[in-house]
Amino acid sequence: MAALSITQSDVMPSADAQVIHGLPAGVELTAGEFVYHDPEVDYIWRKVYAAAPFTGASQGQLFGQIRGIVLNHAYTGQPVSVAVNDTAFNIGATLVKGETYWADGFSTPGAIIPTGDLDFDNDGDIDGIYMIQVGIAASTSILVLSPYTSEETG
Amino acid sequence: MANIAITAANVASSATGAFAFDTFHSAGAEITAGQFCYLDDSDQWQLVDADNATGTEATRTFGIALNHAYTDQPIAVSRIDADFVVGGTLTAGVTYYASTTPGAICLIGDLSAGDYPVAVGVAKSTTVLNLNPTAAGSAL
Repeated sequence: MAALSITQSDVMPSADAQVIHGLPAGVELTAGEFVYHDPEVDYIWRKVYAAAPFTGASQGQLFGQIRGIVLNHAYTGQPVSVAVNDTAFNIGATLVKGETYWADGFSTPGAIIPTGDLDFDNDGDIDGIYMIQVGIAASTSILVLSPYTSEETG
Repeated sequence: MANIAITAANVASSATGAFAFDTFHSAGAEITAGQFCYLDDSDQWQLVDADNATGTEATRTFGIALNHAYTDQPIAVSRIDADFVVGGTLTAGVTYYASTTPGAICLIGDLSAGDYPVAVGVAKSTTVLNLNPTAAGSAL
């Protein structure tokens, strides 16, 4: 198992997607990355990283933060478009139908991993990261994008 | 002369221009930050090419891309901005035009008979452009 390998040019929302346009990128962001902004702090998109515990500023682990998937590419300060909810999101990667996908907290900020990778060291339990759901695969290419976290760690 | 060399990471709208950029239309082709675009008949952004009568009409909507998108992905395009950071080196006081290289920006002297001039804006300094596109709608 591994983080999703995303082809940026294939990332595409459906016509029914809820998209936030125009807020700036806090770092360079590319299509397919999982990002958040915190409306209590600012309105800048940053990469989600589910590592626990965190010190200092969070990286998208908190309940009240808005999360979504980047739809284009922006350098720091440039506006970016982010899908925050979509029942038929083409994520540009090969999925396993019925699988739930989560924010990576082990290696790569912004990356998306399947449930099996939550047990990163293969010792039979989930390895102490925040459980931040990205969505559930409706097919091998379509994700029901529905980001959620309860702020619980696995 | 040649087209203005643009560093995509340095392209930025001003604080006031941030309220005038378009995010309601998608890219009709792959477009990179800093490229000069027009809105086509399908309401998608395309690269302006001064060789072509199509996309250089006086009635078109123009702008400069603020980020990068592949075909059909959403893109942000600044349509007007008095303090637009174009991401390249300009000459203050000089007017810049759409190039015959799709999406690029050049000087009027780089165009020739038969090309369709579209003024992109006037340089306020070596980095800032008063972005206010205007097309002649006819060939040189």
